[in-house]
Amino acid sequence: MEKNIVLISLFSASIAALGLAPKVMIASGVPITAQSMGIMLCGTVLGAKRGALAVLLFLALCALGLPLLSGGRGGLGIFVSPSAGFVIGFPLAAYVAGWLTTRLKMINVFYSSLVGAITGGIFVLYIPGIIGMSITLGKSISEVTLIALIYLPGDCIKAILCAALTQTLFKLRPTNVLSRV
Amino acid sequence: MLALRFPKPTALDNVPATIKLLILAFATSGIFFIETLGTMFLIFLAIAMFHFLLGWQIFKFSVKLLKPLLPFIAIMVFWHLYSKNLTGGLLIIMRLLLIVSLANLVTCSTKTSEIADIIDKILGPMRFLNINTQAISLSVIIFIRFTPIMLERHHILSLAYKCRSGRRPSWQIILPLILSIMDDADHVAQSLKSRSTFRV
Repeated sequence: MEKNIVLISLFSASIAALGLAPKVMIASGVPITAQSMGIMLCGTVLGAKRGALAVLLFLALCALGLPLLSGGRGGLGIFVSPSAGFVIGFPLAAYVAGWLTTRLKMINVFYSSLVGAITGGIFVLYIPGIIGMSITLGKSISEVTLIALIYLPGDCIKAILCAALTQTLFKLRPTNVLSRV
Repeated sequence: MLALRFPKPTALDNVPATIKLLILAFATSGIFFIETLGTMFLIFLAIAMFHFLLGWQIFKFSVKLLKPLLPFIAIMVFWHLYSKNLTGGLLIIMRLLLIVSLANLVTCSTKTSEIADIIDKILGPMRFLNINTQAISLSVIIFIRFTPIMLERHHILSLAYKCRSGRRPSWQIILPLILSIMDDADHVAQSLKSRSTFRV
C-alpha cells in the first residue's frame, strides 16, 4: 500500500519535472514536450489504475494553482484553454496505456507498452483533445482534426521512446514496473 | 516556490475562495452566451480595467500569463482572414482571453491552502463511501515535498549531460530520472512502513 502511494505521488511529480525538458512549439500553439510522454509512462509503468491516479493527482495540483504544466502553466485557466481537452484526456490516456500494457503480458514489454502508448497516448487522448479545441476555438471537428494531426509525428516518436524506456526499466527494476507484476 | 501568485497582495486576496470560484463558474458559463462583438468588447474592456485597477504590476503579470495563448490567437486570425469572417474570429479570441484571464485572476489571488481546504471539504463525504481520504492527503504531501527535488535532479542531470556531451539534453536524461524516482519510492515506502505513518 505504502509503495503504491509513493510511486503514484513520485511519478506524478516526475510529470512536472519532464515538463522542463526543452520543448518544441508548433503552429497550433500546443507545445510538444516530454510531459505528455510522462503521461504515457505513468500508464505503461504503473498500470491502468495507478497510472490514471498519478495523472489525476498531477491535474488536481495544477488546478490548485501550481505552475506544473509545461511553460509554467497552472491554475484553473488550463481547463478552459484550447488544450483543455488534452489535459482532461490525460488520465484516460494513462489508464488505457496501462490497461493494454497489462493485458498484453504474453508479448514482449516493448511491444505491449508501444501498443498501450499509441492507443492511450494518441488515439484516446486525441478524442477529448480535438473536442476541446473544437469548442474553445469554435471550429468544426474536421477542421480541428487537421490542426491536431500536426502533433502526430511527435507523439509517435514519444510513444516509441516510452516503450523503449518501459522495457529498460523492466530489465533494471522489474518489481517496480507494476503494469507487468 | 511552487505556487502561482500575483507579485503583491491584492484586494481580491481577501474575498473567500468559495465566492471567487462560484463567480468564476457563472462568468465562464455566461461568456459563452455572448454573441455580439460590442458586448464582448465592453466586458473585455471592463476586465482589463479591473486588472489595471489592481495595479500596474498585476496587469503586467496577468498579460504575461496569457502569453501561451498567442499561437492560438495567431492561428485564429489567419484562419478567419482566410475565411473572411474576422468578426467571428475576434469574438472567439476575446472569449478565450476573457475566460483564461478570469481563471488566472482567481488562481493568482487565492492561496493554495484555501483551495486545498475546499478540496478537503469536497472529499469529506467520500469518507462515508469508504474511500481512504488519508491516502489522498498523503499523496499530495509527498508530491509537494518531492516536486522541487525532482526539478533539482532534472537540472543536475541536464548539467551532467551538457558537461559530458557539450549538447543540450533531451530524452537522454529521462531514464536516469525515472530510475532515481523508483529508488526514492523504495526508500520512502520503507520509511513510511517502518514509522507506521500510514494506516490502512
